[in-house]
Amino acid sequence: MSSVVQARGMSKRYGKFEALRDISFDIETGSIVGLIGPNGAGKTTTLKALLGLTRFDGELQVLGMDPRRRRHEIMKRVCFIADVGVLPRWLKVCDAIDYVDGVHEGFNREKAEALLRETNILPGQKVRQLSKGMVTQLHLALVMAIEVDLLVLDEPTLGLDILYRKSFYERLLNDYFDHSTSIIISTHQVEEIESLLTHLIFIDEGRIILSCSMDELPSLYSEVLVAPEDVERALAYAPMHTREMLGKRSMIFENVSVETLGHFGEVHTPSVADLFVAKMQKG
Amino acid sequence: MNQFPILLKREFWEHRNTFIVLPLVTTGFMILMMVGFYIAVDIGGINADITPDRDGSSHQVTRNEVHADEAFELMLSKLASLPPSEREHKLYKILNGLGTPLLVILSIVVFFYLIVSLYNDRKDRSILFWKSMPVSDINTVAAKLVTALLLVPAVYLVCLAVVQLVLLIIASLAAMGQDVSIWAALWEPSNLVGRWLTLVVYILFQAIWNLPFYGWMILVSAWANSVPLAWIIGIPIAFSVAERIVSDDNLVSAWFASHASPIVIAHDQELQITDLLPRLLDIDTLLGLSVGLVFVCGAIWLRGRGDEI
Repeated sequence: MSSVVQARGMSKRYGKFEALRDISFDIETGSIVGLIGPNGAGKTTTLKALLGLTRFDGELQVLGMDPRRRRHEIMKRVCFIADVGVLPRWLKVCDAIDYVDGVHEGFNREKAEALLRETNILPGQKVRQLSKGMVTQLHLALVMAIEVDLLVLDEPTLGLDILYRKSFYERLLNDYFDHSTSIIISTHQVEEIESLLTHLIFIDEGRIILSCSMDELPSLYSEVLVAPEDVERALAYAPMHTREMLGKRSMIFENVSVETLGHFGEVHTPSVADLFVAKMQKG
Repeated sequence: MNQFPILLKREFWEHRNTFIVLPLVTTGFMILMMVGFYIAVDIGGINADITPDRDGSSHQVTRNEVHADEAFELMLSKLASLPPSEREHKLYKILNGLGTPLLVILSIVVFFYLIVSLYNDRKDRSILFWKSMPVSDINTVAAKLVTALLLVPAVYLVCLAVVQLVLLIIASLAAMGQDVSIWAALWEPSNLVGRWLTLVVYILFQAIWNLPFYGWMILVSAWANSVPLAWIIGIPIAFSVAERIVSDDNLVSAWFASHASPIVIAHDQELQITDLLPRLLDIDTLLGLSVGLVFVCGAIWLRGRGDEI
């Protein structure tokens, strides 16, 4: 499969702080990648590097171009929504549409207007008069009216209430995604996007600690609820994470076969959130 | 796709108050003052001090004796009685003086616009939105320069032209039906169209002349992470002090200061296109142009690396 993004040995320092430490990854065409990590792990830096919005060392190709030199060309085929609040407060809604229409060849004005009509946003309002949720809706409407190859979302639902968050992702999946588009979403609220993802990247302290497809997950990681009498034997297989649960012990194993673990109880694939916690605490 | 028109519009959306509202309000205010003056003269009369006419007969006019039409007639007849060159010069001074407030406001507006032009969007993080659009850094910076150097001055010049026109119209209306040729005394020596053309050339030339300073401002605006105004002024001052200490001279600072000020047309107070054109090609201007372009290129480069602050 072809890649939209190829990163090799990317590093970035802010003074003494190492935001990215030699990270490498690929994003395949048509995938929905979750970039997951705690605050300050390097998620935003990674995404901004993809978009040519920050400098870094190492190699990076987005749609075959280096974002450090060809940002404005890449942006013809890539869209970006950051966490709320990057639309300037003085901008009027109708002017925002005029602007994108005036600079972006791939923008479909009718579609953006139709999307906005479904919201409570009025064309004459300024961004400063909109709630956080409405600003995100506006930005989303602008972006969804552009046909792109790659959509980059950096904590797009941060600070929004649960209703907006739900409809945001539904919208995204139903109206936007087709298999020629790739999406990369960063978040630290894993549960919200777990069901959307085709690929996972865990990042912590500037390093990638896991990168795999959701399809691979069951063969790599297993979770078993172990009865107290079996705990000793199960621990011999070196679980990466254990926790007490309903009087039993829940254990997550990496690369231990399902047949082996089947002796201790019912084996299932851990949720992304649990896997994340396990990875983080192990690391 | 030509993105430029919308990039220019964007600047006017952001700075609507100083680019559109302020000049309109100023123009309206000046017109009100002129009309008010006319009405005040019409109702209250004027204590006009009329000096002797050329034929020697003296009009001594005291307060409340003369009403607007007569007062303007007297002024006009006085104008008409002057020799042509003096008449032109008097009108030049009046019309020029009328334009001064607008030109002063213009330079302040452009100054403060350039300071924040590549700074504000880094501060409010909207740079992440602007840079997520397929607009090159060259176009972004060029649009801001064209706005500051050409478009905003154009708006203020149109306002200035309106104010001058209104003045002449009021004076003409007041003197209508009087025994003075309004055209010969007022309109012809005012040479409005010629003056406007000269001003347009002047604004264009000023843009080139001041490019080192404008370029410097936009460079600092792209670079500073706080208080760009302080850097814009502080660095040249520090440089000039250092220059004096090192070389006991201030050649570079003085040169820069001259390009931060309006161009001085040495031998005549009255602005003439013929005085401007030769200056366009002299070494000083061309050197300024090159230095300005270096600063602008620096600003474009910094914009490419620029990030939210």
